[in-house]
Amino acid sequence: MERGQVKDLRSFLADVKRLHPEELIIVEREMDLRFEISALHVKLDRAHKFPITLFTKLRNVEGKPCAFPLLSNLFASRRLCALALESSEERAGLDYDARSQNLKTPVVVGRAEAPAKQVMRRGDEVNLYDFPVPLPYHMEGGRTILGSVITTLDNHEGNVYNCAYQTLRLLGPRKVTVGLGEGTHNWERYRERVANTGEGLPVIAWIGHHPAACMGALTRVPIDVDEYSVIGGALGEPLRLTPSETWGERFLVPADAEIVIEGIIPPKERGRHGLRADFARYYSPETLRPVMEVKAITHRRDAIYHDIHLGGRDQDHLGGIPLEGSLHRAIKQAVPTVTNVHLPSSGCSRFHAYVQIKKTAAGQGREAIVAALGVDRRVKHVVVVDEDINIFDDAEVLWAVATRSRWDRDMIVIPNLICTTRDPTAYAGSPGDLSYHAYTVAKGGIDATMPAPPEPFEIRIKVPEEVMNKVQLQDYIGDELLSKIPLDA
Amino acid sequence: MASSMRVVCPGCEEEFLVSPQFERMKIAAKCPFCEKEFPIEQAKKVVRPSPILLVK
Repeated sequence: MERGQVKDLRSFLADVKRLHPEELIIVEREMDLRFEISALHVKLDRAHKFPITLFTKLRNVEGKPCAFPLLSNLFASRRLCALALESSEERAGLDYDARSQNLKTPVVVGRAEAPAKQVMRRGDEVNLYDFPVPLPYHMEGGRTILGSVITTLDNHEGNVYNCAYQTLRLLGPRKVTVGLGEGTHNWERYRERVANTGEGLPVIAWIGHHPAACMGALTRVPIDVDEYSVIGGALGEPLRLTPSETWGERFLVPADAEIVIEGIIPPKERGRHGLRADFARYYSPETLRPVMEVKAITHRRDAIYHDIHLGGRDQDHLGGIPLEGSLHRAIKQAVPTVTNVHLPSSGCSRFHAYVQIKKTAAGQGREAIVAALGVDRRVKHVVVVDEDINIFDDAEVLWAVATRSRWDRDMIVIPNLICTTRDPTAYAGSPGDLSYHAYTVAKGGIDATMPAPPEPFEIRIKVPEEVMNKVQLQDYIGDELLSKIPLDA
Repeated sequence: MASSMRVVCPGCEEEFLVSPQFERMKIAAKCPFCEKEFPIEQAKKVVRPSPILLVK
């Protein structure tokens, strides 16, 4: 990024074009929003290729030529997530956490300086069907905006904003249901507002920003911490805000977002938040959720509609990398020698946690398991390994399980812990009760570490480092032949 | 989710998921394929999960 430039989605895409041009694919051929974009992403996932994708020729929800390009797979490459966080693939979660703990107070700019205000639509001019909202999977009966960061404001001080990725299901051109999950901060803001005033809750949804800002919206902080400041920390510079169209300076919106949707969630109305895909790669049944009446939409003149590829690496990393940082911070309190944490895609970057420690004392592996299970209700299986195990390689972690763990002594199982409702194996607390605290499941972990020194253990085979460095495949086999040898499973 | 019900639409005969909350609150199911809304008792077929535990 050039010095002095504001960090936003555009600046990040410019960085990718400059440093990794092969990882930004522009699809100029027309694609159908019904399933075709998902099909392309699923095939890319299967080919183990994770470029950012930009679709320029689409039709909107009403089937008319669409003015907005659609960007997806923004988080699918861990390498590019690391670029956004000025980190490395290995340290992205840890560095993300350190940044997001370093709060940066936002700065307020006028409407004229805010790209998100270049186009303004109010009242009857608002039409959500103008956007290219895809239909990703076969059982989904409606269109859902997935890249929306729902933002609410506290009732008392008026300067603490809460942000989270929550979906918007289109019910009409100016009406959506909001996927506010019970127990989330935004749900609490809604509950509090209705209880205290009997009035609806002002809310905005912003779409499209620098990926570090997007991940910042998923940091786990107490409800009284201003998340615009947390996002500034993750971004590495203060988030620029500007007055909203509906509430002016009383409710500020991100000035550098691509699209901002402003509205009110009325006190009682509920709508069908239709059957949809979830992070666990299953369908989630239709539920009743609060409705949002859209009052205004502002966007950039050439706004990019940011969508998220559900059930793939894109969604995995968006939630998983911030959670890795939270886990590392929590485990470090119990086991100071924890070196890294990874939430692999094999567990949808939520269910499995691989924890790497430098073991100095007996019991640390088990301590790390217990600490990890208390951080987030979605974390279900914890595998603790030594420093020599690459926690970004499932096969190597399973090798540690195979050769360094015993089911009778190294496994912990804790029954009936609160879990995500999205775990298909969850025990329902009572039939039909869908509240988030009603589901439990057994969770546990495997201590796949070697005994702590000075206790001896078998020594792992290795070729001397200097010989590994000396012998390069292309010197002996040749690049051409090497490229022809097929990849095995 | 462990307690989703499988329902077959009486209109298009496609199978989809319904939350048991909808049955308890007497809210009509809505088919994601043909958009038909119907009371769950009118479904062509309903498969309910075991009430407390998922049976594997």
